[in-house]
Amino acid sequence: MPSGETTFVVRAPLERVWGFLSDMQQVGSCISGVEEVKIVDSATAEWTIKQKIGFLTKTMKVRTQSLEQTPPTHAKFQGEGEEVSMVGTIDLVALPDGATQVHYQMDATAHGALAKIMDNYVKTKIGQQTQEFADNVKKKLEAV
Amino acid sequence: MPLIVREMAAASTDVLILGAGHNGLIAASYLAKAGLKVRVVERRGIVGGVCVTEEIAPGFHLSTTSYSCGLLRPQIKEDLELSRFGLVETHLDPEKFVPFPDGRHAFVYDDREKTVKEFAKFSKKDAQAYPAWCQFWDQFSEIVDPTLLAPPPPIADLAGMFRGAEAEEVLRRMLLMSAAELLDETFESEEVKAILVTSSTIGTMSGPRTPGSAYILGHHLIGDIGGVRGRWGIARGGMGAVTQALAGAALHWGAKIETGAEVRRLIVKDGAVRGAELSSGERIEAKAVISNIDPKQTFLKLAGPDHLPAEFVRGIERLKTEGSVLKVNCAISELPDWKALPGTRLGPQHIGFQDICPSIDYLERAYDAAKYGRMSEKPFLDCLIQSASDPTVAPPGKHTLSIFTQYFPYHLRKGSWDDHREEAGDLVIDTLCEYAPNMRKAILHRQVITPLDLERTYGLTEGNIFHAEITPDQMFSFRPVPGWSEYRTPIDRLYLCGSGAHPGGGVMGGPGHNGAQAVLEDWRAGRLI
Repeated sequence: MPSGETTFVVRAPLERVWGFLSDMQQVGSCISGVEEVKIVDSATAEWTIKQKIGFLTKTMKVRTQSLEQTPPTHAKFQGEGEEVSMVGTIDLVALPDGATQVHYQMDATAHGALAKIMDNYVKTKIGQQTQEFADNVKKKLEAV
Repeated sequence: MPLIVREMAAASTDVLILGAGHNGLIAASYLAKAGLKVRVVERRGIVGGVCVTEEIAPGFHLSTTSYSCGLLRPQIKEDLELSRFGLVETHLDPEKFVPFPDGRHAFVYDDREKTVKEFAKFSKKDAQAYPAWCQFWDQFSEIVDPTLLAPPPPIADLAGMFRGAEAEEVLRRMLLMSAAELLDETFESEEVKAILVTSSTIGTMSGPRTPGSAYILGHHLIGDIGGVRGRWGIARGGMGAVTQALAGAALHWGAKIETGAEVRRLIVKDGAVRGAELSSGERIEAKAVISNIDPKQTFLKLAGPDHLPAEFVRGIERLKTEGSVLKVNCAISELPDWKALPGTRLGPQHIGFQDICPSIDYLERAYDAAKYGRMSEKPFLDCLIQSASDPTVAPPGKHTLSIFTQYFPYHLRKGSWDDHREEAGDLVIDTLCEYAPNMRKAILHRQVITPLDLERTYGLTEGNIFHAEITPDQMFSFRPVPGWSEYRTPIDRLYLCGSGAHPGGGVMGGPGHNGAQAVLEDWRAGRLI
């Protein structure tokens, strides 16, 4: 199963980071390839993800759901699509200087006839994508 | 407990691997690393298959068959820790030197901007087109790369990824067009097209104008050395260093490897393979057998058609396997003094591949002869001097010269390869000397390996270096036969792991990795106890 994780520091207080990252709309907006986030209910959202593979563009719809929330430090969510499933966790630690350490992990599994190929593709991209997630979160939270 | 399960439980070998070529050794490593009891049997006295270094004259160590690395998957190198077992790869830069009959020459470099400047010598328009050409193949690699270490999906599902007019156009180009057509669309000068066309026919009985040759070109552009896609290189010590590292890995994880052990037949009973019988008479029982030998030999000779469905046998018989390659390996006293860039002192012209192919027409005419069972009057040459970058393979001041050349068809219209071996070797050297006249006197020792030698000595049916042609009609889920592309075979517990399975040949390692994964999947599901 392709897996990516990253730990980074955001120059923002814990409560603010929690408020941002416990919101599926905000999390979706920081994941590269997520083009649209439609809120279904307080715990569910539908992401439209576009991935470029060489010349090809693949569009997938993934229904994401919040599985666990232990405010303000831990959240777990899952995403289910026709071709891909994912499980992500976010863990926050308040730092003495007022910043927040974020640990983000994402595991993804492809389904269907092209599953093994898509898994191989995701493996090559997931490291870069988790890093992009970190960069996007920092950009949005530190800009204000 | 059914009889077959009782018999299999008693076998002390979990997996018997036929052939210690690079794919067999890769399979052995993955399986042994997973804890299975693995035994590899190899007919020759050395491991390596066609990925070997052999001493052709005292002190001259040549990659006698395959001669360059680059396609071996980085994932495999990492999983099997090959650097720990001695593999050192160096990429070639400049990658290519091409001399032309009018005295001009060109280099292809790692640095695309430097290559653009080279191409500008022939055409400014071509120089400007080159970056887009490279980008096309980068994107091709991005699509093809994830398919290499996985069983091929049904072709309909793979093709289904290409939806919409733009994507369909890409698919058409990738699978159905000829390399010459793609090059004619993109470039105007014969020289630039010649520089870029040669990989489209490597090891294949087809020409640059054959539909599907664009795919073959792409197959040779998906290499990766040091994280840079498209690179080719050498293994220090020659290609044998690759298989020595693989053998080291396999042994480290507990596999047993025996050389001088030729398989006479597979032992098949009640639709399942039980093991193999060697030429010595020894019978080896195993819970599974995985063959690194080409499909025709595996099924038609070792297993026997009686144990196989008739339609499958017909599919294997129909496989295109005619070889077209002659290899001339030389010990030389000095470096080529190219008319197009004179000098026998070590220079950039001696580092990478040195190609004799001045135009697409030249290459196509070379192929024309082979269609009618004749050697090319003017063959294509791909020369490599390993010692220019790796002094370990030749005595000081001397060099090794590997010449990969086409077309020398396995089926000659007149005579046999034993009658024509030296004539073919002379033809190759005559061609080389048109461009580097000093080579005739520089050759201290010459070895000529014909398609028949590739079959007899190295175990390749009809001398095909890829076990079967890598034309699109024999790739992905067509390889080796539609319906049987996922390494399992119609004989229960018998698997393929050689280049005759997806993703084909080129010292890529994909078949070895994937074949092993198929065995492990069945093992973990309890289907091989």
